[in-house]
Amino acid sequence: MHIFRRTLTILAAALIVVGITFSLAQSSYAQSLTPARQARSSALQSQSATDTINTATANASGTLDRTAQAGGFEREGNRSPSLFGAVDILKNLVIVGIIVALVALTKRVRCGRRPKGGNNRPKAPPAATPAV
Amino acid sequence: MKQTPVQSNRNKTNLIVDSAIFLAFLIAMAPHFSGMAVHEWLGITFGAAIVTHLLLHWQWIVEVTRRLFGKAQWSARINYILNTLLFVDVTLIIFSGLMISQVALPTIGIQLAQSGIWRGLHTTAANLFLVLVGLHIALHWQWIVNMVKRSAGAPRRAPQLSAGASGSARLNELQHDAQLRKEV
Repeated sequence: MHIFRRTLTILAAALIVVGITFSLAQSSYAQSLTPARQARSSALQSQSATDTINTATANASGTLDRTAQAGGFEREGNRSPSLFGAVDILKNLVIVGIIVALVALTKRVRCGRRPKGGNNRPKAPPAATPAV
Repeated sequence: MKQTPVQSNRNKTNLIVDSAIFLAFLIAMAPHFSGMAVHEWLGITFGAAIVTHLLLHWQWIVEVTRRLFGKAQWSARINYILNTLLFVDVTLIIFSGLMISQVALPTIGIQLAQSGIWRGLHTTAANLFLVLVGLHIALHWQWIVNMVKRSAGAPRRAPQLSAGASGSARLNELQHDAQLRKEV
């Protein structure tokens, strides 16, 4: 029963975030941003269509115009899994590693600067010297 | 000061759940590696994993929320703010991901109108999430190292100052637990 109630609390909190986001996305400012994005994306699409036609024409004429092919990172088109994507995993791991290292370094520097006067641990007694 | 079996089991459960979440996070953050279908279904499952993670740490959430403006230490407050940002961010990622879903939602017969704003939000929130997760791991790094050391088969010993690596790891862990209790 506890878990059910807690889960509902978490979902309610998520719903509040979603509600705020959705209302912000529907706001006039967000809507004014969207046409610009759509215009850019439609321009890109028309460019890619032109490229496709150019490539098809080049193929038909027996030559392939390399400059007409769209290059760069295309996220949407790549639906099938690829082992080359493992580079992304490594990249993310490196980023997380750098952040962890930076924070650890900062903590160490801060601990090093902390005055050691608060350490009131009693000193160990001197080792007993054997009787001669 | 000896850790009870219940506490030890809870730590192990936390470590396993957190490791699984991190692995899922890495795979979900690389859609070129996993493919779009796995990316989307894993992202939806990620939401359930986050709920599990929050349920496992419910006591901490309740205590710090109660004392946020009172006696809580600054480190606990920073941790709390970071975790809140993580929660908001992961909610945004999952929600915007659902809004631009190409595989998961169409499979169950739901088609949503595509909008550029959700795509932009999804990418931005995912990039921010990477940084926040890095900070989240960094703040709990000592606990992770100690738990991994113990899980790697270091023999269990009573904490002694003169003990070897395993003893000092256990001591560190006990100190970390005490620190967390103190923060609350």
